[in-house]
Amino acid sequence: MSSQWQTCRKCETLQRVEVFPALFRESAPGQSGEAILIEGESSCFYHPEKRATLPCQNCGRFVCALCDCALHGQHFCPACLEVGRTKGKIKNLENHRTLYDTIALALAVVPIITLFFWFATIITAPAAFFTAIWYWNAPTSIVRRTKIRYILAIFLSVVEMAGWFLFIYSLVEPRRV
Amino acid sequence: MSDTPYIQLTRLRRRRGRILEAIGAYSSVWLGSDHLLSITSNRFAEDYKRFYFGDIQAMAIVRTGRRRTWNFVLASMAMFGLLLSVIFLPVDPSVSEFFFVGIPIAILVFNNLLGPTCTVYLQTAVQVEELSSLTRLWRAQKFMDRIRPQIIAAQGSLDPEETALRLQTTFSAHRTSVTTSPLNLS
Repeated sequence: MSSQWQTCRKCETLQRVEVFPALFRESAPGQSGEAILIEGESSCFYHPEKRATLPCQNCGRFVCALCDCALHGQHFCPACLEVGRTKGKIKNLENHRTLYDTIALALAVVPIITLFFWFATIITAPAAFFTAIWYWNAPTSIVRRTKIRYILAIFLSVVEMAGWFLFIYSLVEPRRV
Repeated sequence: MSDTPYIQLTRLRRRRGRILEAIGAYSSVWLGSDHLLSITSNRFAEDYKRFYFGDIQAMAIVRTGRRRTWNFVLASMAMFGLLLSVIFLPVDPSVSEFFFVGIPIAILVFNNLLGPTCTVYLQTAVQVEELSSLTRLWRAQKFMDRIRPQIIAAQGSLDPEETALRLQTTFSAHRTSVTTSPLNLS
């Protein structure tokens, strides 16, 4: 429902609130699971004395109403839900990602642009190269993102490492001659 | 690579909040197929919150006085800069005026061109989330116009009269249910 601008009686700020039907929806009561009454009935994997209501869509274990974790039309057992959350197997539960592509690029670029710490590239360039290669297949941001940061990090770190190699070589080589 | 097609609704903006929490924290909102995705980022890692259209109970736009505050700060800076460049600084006035007067005035004009400021809150059954990336009224209204059809498609819509009646019923029920003392002795 669209509403008009109104002044709050308490804080006197101008505000506009839109209310949707979900505000009035009663939350479904929790279920404890029914006890097995007939012998031979399939039981819950976690509660053998409770009747199974459906199988977990990930592992196939039977679960009772108490152990049934419904997630937007899908049903999981508590263990699969936990594993899915921690290992990122259930995309809708994933709530954190480390952006290794940005880390690799920062390692390659930041010492250069700060100017005073350019000498740190002797450490950060191999670190950027290693990070970019090691985490090449790691998931980046959940929203659209390409491999361009990895490619730039590899390119810049290779250039920096080549620069250091030439610098050290130029120091060592005249002595040999 | 991306896993789900998301459409960007707001650009990455500095997150407000407590000083230590807000340092380096940025926020943006993306539109998914059946949910809004709020991203809080420190550039090297991202935290996600999903708000499914079927679960959104209410959205509120609250007008704030941040534009007025910034106007005051920027005008003060420009006045102070003018004073400095005219009286004290022994440099070319055109250069000093550009830095100390021109830049604050340019930001001041830009601040007013962007329009009034606001804060947007989104409420579900379990939380009230501030969408930090929505700070200007026109942008917040554009955002609301974009997601309102999606929420209505997921939940259906209510008549204004029906909503008013239900709100009255719900909140009067809340009021009557909290009239006991902490120990329920009354």
